[in-house]
Amino acid sequence: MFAYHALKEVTTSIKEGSFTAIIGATGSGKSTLVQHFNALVTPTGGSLVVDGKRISANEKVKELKPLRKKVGLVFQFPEYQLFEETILKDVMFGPLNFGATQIEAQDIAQESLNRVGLDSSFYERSPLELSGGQKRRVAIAGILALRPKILVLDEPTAGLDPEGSASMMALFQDLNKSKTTIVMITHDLNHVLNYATDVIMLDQGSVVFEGSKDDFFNETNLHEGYGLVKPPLLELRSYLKAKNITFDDHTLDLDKLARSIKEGQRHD
Amino acid sequence: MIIDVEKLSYEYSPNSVFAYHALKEVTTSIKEGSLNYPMNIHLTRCLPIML
Repeated sequence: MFAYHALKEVTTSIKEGSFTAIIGATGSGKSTLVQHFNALVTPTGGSLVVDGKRISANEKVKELKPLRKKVGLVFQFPEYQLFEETILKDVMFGPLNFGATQIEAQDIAQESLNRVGLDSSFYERSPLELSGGQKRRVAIAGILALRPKILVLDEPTAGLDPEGSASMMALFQDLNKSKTTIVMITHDLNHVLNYATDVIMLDQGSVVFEGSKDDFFNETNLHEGYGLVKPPLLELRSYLKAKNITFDDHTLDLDKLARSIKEGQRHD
Repeated sequence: MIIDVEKLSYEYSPNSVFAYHALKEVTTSIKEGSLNYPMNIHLTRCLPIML
């Protein structure tokens, strides 16, 4: 009978406090993998341990609520899930379901909305009145209101303009600095280059790379295949190399690259 | 490590593959406002599997 293996004996790990990018072509198993992190789907083989909670095949997972609170999962286009009549009520929904009182939920919701850059003038507005980027901020505030230890984002900037995308990424970077572990599925290698600390790459349900961002870009050629677009900084490095210009060909930072070109010119 | 994954496999069963595609078609039809008679058949087929 027909069956489809979305993941095949995947062994990998996510460091606490890291900003881990999960990349790979469409259908490589990225979304299926992250949906295991809060037991939205459970394995048909093997196991995983999420902050001490073990989830394995053929074993019914009990007490999912603490895990769901610990691992916030933001789907693609989360704004489609907004349903309350006001923004504040929508963000309060999560904390209320996890046992917070009205006043506690309101405080948490206000704090989460402020975190995503929406002030009190938004609280009583309908989610329907907002722009696409603002709606997405409300949806993300709804997840932040659960104060997750791990935030899992499935292509969080899809459909946003470059400015909206940059400010969304700055928000995630800020959350990561305040100790939230970020796991982000993305097709944008520029985001990997600028924000991630670690990379996991999947292909046809298997891990083909796991390691630091530096190793991914400097020690492999994986960023050149799999339908991924090479970041401009790497294009520039290739161009400089082709022109025999002396520079630090391992740097992934534009300022450092510029400085190393200057240094190289001084020595030439 | 905050997450450790070991030999994790996930296989969509024939039922879940069918339910997934049926559900996708239904939600697309609802969005497009074109839920029609064959879709009702899809619903009656996939709901018992999903529930």
